[in-house]
Amino acid sequence: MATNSRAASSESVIEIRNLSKVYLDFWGRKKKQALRSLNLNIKKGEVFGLLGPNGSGKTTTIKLLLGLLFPSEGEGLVFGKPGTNVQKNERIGYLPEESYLYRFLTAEETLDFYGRLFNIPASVRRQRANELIEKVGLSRDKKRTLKEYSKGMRQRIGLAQALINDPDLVILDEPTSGLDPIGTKWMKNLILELRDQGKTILMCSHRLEDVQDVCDRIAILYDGELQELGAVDKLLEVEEMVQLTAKGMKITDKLRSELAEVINRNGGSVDKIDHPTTTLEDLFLRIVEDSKARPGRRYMPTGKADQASTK
Amino acid sequence: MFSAFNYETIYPNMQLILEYVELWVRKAGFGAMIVLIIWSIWHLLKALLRDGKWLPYGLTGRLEAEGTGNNWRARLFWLLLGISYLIIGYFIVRFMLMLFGNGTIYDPFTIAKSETGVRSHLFEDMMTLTLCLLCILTISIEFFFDLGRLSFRRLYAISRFTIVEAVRKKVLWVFLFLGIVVLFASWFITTEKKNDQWAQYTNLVLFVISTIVLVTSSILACFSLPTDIKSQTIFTVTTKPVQTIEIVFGRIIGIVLLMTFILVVSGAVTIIYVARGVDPEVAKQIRARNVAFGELLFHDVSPQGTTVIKARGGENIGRLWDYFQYLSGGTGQEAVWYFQNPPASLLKNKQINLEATFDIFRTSKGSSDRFEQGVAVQFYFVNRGKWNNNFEAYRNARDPKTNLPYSADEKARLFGYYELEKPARVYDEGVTTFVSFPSSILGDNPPGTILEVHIKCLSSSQYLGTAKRNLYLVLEESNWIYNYFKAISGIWMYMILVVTLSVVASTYLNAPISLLVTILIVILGQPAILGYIYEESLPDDPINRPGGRFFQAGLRLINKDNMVTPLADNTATRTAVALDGSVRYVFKFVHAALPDLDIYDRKIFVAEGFNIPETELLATFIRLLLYLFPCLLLGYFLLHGRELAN
Repeated sequence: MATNSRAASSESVIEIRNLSKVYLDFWGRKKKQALRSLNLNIKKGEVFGLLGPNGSGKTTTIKLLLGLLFPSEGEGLVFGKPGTNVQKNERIGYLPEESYLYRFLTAEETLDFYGRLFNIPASVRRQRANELIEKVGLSRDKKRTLKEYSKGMRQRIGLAQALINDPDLVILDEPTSGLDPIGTKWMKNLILELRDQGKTILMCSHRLEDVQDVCDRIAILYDGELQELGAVDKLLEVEEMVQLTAKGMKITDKLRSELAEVINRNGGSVDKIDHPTTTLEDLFLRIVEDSKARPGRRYMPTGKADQASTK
Repeated sequence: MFSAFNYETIYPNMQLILEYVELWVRKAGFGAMIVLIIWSIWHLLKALLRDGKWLPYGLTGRLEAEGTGNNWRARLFWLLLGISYLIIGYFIVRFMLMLFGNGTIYDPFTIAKSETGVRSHLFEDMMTLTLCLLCILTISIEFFFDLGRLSFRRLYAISRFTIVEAVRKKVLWVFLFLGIVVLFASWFITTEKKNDQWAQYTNLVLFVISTIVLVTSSILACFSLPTDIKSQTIFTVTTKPVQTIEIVFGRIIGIVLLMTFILVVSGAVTIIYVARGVDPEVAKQIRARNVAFGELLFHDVSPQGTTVIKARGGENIGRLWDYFQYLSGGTGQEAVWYFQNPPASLLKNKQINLEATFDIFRTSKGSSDRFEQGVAVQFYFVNRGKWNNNFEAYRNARDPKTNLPYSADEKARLFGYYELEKPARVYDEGVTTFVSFPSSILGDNPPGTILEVHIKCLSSSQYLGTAKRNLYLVLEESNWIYNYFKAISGIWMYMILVVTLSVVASTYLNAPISLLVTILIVILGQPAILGYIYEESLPDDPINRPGGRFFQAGLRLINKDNMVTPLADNTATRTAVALDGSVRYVFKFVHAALPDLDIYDRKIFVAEGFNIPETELLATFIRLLLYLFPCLLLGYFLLHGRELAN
């Protein structure tokens, strides 16, 4: 969950009113209704997540906002302008789902090309490209063509191209797709960093934990319809249960019975008293960091994993 | 080494370009008017039956989308649309009045001229022209607005990117093929006839260059945008502030720049190769002659001295190809070339040189060396402003001071007339006849001078084939290397056309289909097919094209009637005639929509040693731009109307 969530501004960056999309066949007959009367309002400075299973209309919504698809009904305004308006793109950065980039270009050339499309002067373009390459950790590989890149590296340069114009709105379609846990963590940190810079972020993802970690508000879509909308912490809160976390002690029978007594006295009942578990992502990151710090570290079957060493 | 060449192509020239532009405005405007009417009906029907929304602002409705505050663009569109409909209304009323009144129906989409060449229906003409311009402007207003917002930096980025893409995808390797041709071309050159070497080399090399460049550029152009769309890489471009027009133009400019570079390099390499490949003697004779062509008319002079002037004359000798028209030997038939306002440079020398080639059709047997003997042809030259037809005075004229006959120069100056003392011997096609006559015949060559070159076949029972372009006055020579590159500029224009057609097709179709469409247009634009389509678009001509078109011909087949028998006046015939008449307009439309590709092919000029006039190239380029404008407009709307992610 976003730990540094800020109050979003009242200024709307994206306004979606009654937006519908029907895919038609060659003869104009209805093939599929991808989106039904969607209404959303995304405020400046928000990290907004679109969630839903495959075919629920997340990517369709993004493509309608970007003018890659035309609405069948309703409208999707970005900065007050419809998707087909080209000028609005000056303030948008878009990372497509598969990071579709030109594989015959190097990272430097890629950013230079996209920078030119924004009419950015050469000196600013060069400086910004270098900064972004540094930021996404591709400084050593900037002269290699993208066809030599791994999927994760392509996703990183894809994000860099989305930021080349220093956009006010960043639209990320499955930003962590194809990234390893380290890359995912890096991407999430970057999203939070962008949010801290006052940028608005609209992202859609299948990976619920990613959305939970970075989004302020989410919308859940199913079969083209909005099913749920609200702040992440509010939506995830289970009001009828209470969670208490303490440190500096072990769980004993005495502790269990004393706690149960207090809870019972207050009208509740004990569900579970246990040591909390970390997430697999945190465990993985800790081990990788440890391995970096201690070269030669390896798993010993006789001992605990976190105590294994080369000694 | 060089002779005249037989061609019927009318190359664009600057004298006719204004008239061509006007005709283009009428044709394109008519097309735009049809588009506007269909668009209006479609949206009105949609409004009535579906959503209740009336006509959108602009053809794509994008002017409305921009409409925050004072949307003057949308208002301008409406204003243009309104005025266009007012004029269309005027023509509908006028048409109805003519239809139900006594007046004749005026075809507003051709330039109406009287027999003397003066415009008739001037008011209607101007109204039509205004309507056409308004319709073109109305449908292209969004295009022009986007053109105004075009960013050269973005255009440069996309063009540069297109070049890098082509180079990195190793497209240029195909030009190794050119190297192979250069290595082995000599295998295909027959060196026995030295005179033909230059023509063979240049034809082969220019053919290979044009084929490689056109095929490569069309493949590049057809595949670049669809590949981008298929791989979805275009999403990262269209989600930047890039106009559709910049994507279309950028792709075209990128491919054109790359191919231009290749053409220049190929031209330079091949010209060295050809110049070194031909025999040294042949190389010394390479020329780029500037010539003046005249207008050919035929005179039938009766024994009584009366003259009948005809556009087509002589005898029909039964050949299907009617390029040559045959003068019957020993009769009063004459072929006359009219040179209006002959070039002033002709006065630089004492003699004007004339070159001509003829075709000879023989009807009598002769000795075995009759081909060497040729036929006798009388040449005479007339300055129409000066010559008074007094042959006796001309032949007996003497200098009053010396009482000696005048020199040929003096005589020509005094009388504006000159005839060869002895008839010339002319030979079969391919052999050039050289004739000289005094330049003094032109006097001071004031404006309005008309020089006539008359020829008459003297050999009885022989027929002398003449054609407009087979006789010309030779002017000064130009640089042949420069001329070679001018021929390459023809390929360059052809390449621009092919690239534009391919990119436009690929804005809507996938790559293989775009390629097929481009190939189809190129095939249909070949002179033989375009000529056929043009003939089918002409009104019925029972004398020259008896039998009627498809439906009438079908009726004749069913009724077993021959081609010249008039069809019975019944419903079936009237239906067939009406259907044929309608089909004619389909051909007319197809003819107007197809490019005339013959005008770009200038190989023969280089091969036969004629200079290609720069003004003709300029006129050709203007025609190319006029043809490309509707194509680009179509590409713009197709890409605009396309959901790239669907």
